[in-house]
Amino acid sequence: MFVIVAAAVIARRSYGHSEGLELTQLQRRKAALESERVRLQQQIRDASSRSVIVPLAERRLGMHLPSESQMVMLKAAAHGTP
Amino acid sequence: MVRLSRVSVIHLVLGVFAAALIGQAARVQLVQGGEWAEKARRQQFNRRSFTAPRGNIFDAAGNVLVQSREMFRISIAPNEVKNPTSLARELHQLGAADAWIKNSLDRRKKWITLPGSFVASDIAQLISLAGVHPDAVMNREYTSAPGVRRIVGALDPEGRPLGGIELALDSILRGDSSVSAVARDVRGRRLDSPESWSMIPRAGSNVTLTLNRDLQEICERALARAVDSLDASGGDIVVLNPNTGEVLAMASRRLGQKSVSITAVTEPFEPGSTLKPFIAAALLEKGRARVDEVVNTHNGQLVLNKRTITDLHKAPQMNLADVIRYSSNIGIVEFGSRLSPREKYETLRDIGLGMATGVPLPGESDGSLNEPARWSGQSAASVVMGYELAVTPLQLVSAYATLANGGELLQPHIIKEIRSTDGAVLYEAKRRVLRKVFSERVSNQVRELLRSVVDSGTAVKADLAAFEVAGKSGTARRTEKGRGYVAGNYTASFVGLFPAEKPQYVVLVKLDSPKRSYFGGEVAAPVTSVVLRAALAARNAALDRGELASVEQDVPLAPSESTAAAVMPGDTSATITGQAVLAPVAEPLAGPPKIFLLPYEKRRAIVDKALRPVPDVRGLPVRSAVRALHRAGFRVTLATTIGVPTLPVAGTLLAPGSIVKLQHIP
Repeated sequence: MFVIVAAAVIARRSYGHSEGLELTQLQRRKAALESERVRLQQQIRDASSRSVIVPLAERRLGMHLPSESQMVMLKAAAHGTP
Repeated sequence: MVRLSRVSVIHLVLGVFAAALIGQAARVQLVQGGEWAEKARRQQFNRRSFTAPRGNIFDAAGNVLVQSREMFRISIAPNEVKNPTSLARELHQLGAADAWIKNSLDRRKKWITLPGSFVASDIAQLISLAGVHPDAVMNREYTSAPGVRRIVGALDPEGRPLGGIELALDSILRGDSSVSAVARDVRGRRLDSPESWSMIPRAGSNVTLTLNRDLQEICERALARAVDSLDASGGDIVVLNPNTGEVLAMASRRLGQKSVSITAVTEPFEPGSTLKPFIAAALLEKGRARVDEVVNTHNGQLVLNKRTITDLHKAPQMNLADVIRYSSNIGIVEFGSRLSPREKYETLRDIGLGMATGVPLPGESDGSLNEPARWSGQSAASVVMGYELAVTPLQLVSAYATLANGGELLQPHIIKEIRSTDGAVLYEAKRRVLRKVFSERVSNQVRELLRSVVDSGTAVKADLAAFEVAGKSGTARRTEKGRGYVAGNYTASFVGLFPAEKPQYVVLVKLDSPKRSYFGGEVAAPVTSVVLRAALAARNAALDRGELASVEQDVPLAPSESTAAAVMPGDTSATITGQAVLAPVAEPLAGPPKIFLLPYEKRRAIVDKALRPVPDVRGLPVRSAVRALHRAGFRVTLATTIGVPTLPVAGTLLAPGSIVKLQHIP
């Protein structure tokens, strides 16, 4: 009886141990992926910033700022105007 | 005597043994239970402290400027290493120096911590080896914009703040660390167990700045181009919202050094002529002068206390408006003599000079403003010309904000909001009026004077076609250590209010020791124009476009090439860089924009078609004549042989968009 009970306890603890290890690994992986997400987000932000885009657009696409005469400021419609 | 049988003796011995076992078990469990349990906990659990994630830093539009990211430090216990070959290979792949690899395998050493921190994916194989102990640390990911990095500061490898917002708000960003008991198995591996316990670390609060990232990048790019093309030793651009006191952008650049300080608040300079409008304001406020009142300007040369004061724009006399328009030193000295030294001092002190603005940035300078008791015989004249005192760029834009917002000196601020991680607002910046410096009437009067500076004075290169800009240029001599003022070494500056009506920006451009040209109106004013045009074209540059639309002027729809050529020489970037303008890209439109880029034909369709007379432009400079014709809705070509000011002549009724030839004698 003692042997049976002891074996059951050991088996339960062993199962718990392996589950715990797997849980730890998953959490570590989650943290790593989260860390990678932050890094990629930062890279995207930097790559889409004006300091990167503007020189590229000027050099490769020949784009330029609109002059003032190419801009129209539309006045906001008065309240209730259809 | 009872004689026990052999079996009974054995039973007795077993009974005693069992009793002893039970007794010992009871002693271990009941008497020593706590002690053993504690010993087991010490073996099976490690007590560790966890650093809380540092708070993020955002710009005013919610863009992330700084973010925390979990990385790992690697420690190695050489005694526990079982596979030195694999360990050496993994460390080599990780880029560890040979000396560190050697140390990691040296069994005489107990514990080695590798320098630097690593991404989890890079160390996945390494940490599976015996004897390798990873330790999570929080690193900071910074935006790549150098100006923003200078403002937000940085952390050293130990996580200690080194400067900027990181240092100023460290206690808020840092959060609270936690202590945890982490279960470990027999091999020392971390194990999640229900018996583990931890206090949840409280993450640092998130800080939102008033900076606008787009505008900041526009300023940094414009400044970099200007400094490089003019071979200047450095420069600063500061943009402030004069209605709220929010610092919208703060770009700094110094050649030849990797300065980490925010020079817009740490390095004061002599402002020169950019200070004159405040003397004019004080005169108007105290009723000591009128805008149209005339003083003797001595044909551009005045000897005062054995010192010769000169004007570039030489005239026998000027009124106060022209003194500001042409930046007359003699005129402002003559007018300034109507104020006592104490009144001058109090005026400058009231606009915030001589004391730090109080923005939470480390190392902010007070600038320098001496009390009249310490003035020399020259000081009264020097001070009104912007010498013998020093201001930081931020102090100067803050002072100009009084001329933009009706005379109120506002507390400039760079922190917009602080929120805890659960979203609760811990701090919210509010508009704070420090004092009323000038009346609204005087503020408006001086702004009109500043408008004339850009329209037809010393800073026409700051002008925009569609909007009026007000401002004042400054060209101040620079001192060198031990040599005093040095010939040819100047600070060129321009402070602009945009738009002149209901200003939304105060923009300061300051260039240190520009080599090719040094007048503020020549080199700093064009940079302001570049910044403003780029901001107008940007998707979100902290501009109220509804307000802008209400003050927009008529713009020529499609100037001909020759007209464009006539206007282009005043174009700022061309002047600065000495080459064709490489203007920033037009950004795609998103959200609810109020700027639309329309094809030329469509724009013509929305224009009033009523006939209108050709304006009379006789006697006007070409530039003003072109502008007058554009305002009237005509296209302009330049011609040298028509013999009359315009063809058709003034008064002729034409449809808008018609071409008018303008006589131009080169």
